[in-house]
Amino acid sequence: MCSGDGGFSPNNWGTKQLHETIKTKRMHSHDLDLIAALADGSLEDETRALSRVESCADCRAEYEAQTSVLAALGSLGSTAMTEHEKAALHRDVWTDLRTGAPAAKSTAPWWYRWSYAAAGLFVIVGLAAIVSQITDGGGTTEQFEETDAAPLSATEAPAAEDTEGGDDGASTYLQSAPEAADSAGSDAAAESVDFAALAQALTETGQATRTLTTVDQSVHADCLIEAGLEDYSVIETYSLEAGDYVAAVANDAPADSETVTFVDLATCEVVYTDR
Amino acid sequence: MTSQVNEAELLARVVSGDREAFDAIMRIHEDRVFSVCLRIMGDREQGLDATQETFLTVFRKANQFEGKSQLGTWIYRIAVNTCYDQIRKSKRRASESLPDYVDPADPSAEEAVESAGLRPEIETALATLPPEFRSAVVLSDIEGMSMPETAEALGVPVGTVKSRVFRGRRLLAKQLGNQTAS
Repeated sequence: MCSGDGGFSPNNWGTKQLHETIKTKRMHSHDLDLIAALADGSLEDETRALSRVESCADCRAEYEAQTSVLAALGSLGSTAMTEHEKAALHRDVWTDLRTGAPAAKSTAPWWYRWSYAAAGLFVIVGLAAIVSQITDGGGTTEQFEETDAAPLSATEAPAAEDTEGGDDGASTYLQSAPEAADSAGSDAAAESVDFAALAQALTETGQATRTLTTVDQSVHADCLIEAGLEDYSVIETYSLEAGDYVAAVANDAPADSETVTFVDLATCEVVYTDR
Repeated sequence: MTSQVNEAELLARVVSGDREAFDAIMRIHEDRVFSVCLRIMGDREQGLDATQETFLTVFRKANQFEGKSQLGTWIYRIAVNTCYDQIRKSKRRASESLPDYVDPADPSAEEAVESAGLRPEIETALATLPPEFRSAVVLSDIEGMSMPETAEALGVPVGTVKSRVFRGRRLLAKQLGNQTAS
């Protein structure tokens, strides 16, 4: 019933190869199930499993392999966080939630932490220039202005602690037209966000044609994937009164492409694509 | 049961914006979430990053928790998915694996790193497993979750979890045997 080694190297594993290997091994899956369950003590009745182990050398070897691995795994050391790491975790999580931007981990080197501050300064200066240009230049985007709106929308995420002091660093607080702000959190407000103008602003600053390394791509990756944007990068985040959004570009987009896709972080759906 | 109710209440308070409630949830689950993330990621710094990302997701999706499972199981599922996501991205970036970073300002960090790495050969062997096998082994055989709990945390049927755990152990045995031989 049992056979010997299937001759595969776990160093070169692959799902397909693994399945093929398992198929070529003549030990039936129920034998492995039985023996493995015997090894971890989860069988109510061990009679059949013990009989199998005693009657088959390969089954016995499998049993010994499984028990030895369980013993090895049981010998692993503690993995608790230190108090310092826990404090940093709580602080960083709240910083992220408050600002809508990733916080630099306190356990990282100093230059790593300062890179976020520099990025924040860069974004603030850039946005000030954009707003100034939009305000002065007329056209379709004159309604944007900076605001002290709460970083998290009430539409999806639980309310975050508000920061009244305006020390939110790199977070971006753009707001759509005043009439839209009056209906914060509603679908109507979300629909009123002028994504075309946002995309134009990104294009004018050149952000639409490149991926900003200052944006932590891990933060909204799940949402991008849920939105069907598997191979996209976030180039900007927006905490508007109508909701939280990210602007993303395809990683394989041509250098001269200015296509920007906006995703609603509450629903993880694409709400606008500007080509 | 009581703790489950309390946790559901805590999460409801989180949804209504109670910061203390979220801190309480973090305190309850942070060690185990970190343990899962560390074992799956195989690197302390990446484990801490994944832990932070997990709790950010928990907060942002708090209102999506339906109470069909225990809160802990839901959180561990987010943790595992966060790890998968980070593993996928790190493969895409093909970045070099960094050694465990020890914060000089944290006097217990070095001890914690050493404690977690008492059996580096096992950590190395774990890292060779396919992520889905690794997460099943971590949850079941290291974290001591039952097969149904592991299945719920991974979002797959119990039979699939058993298969992954048993075959994961087999691959580990092979790998550890190779390491011993070498």
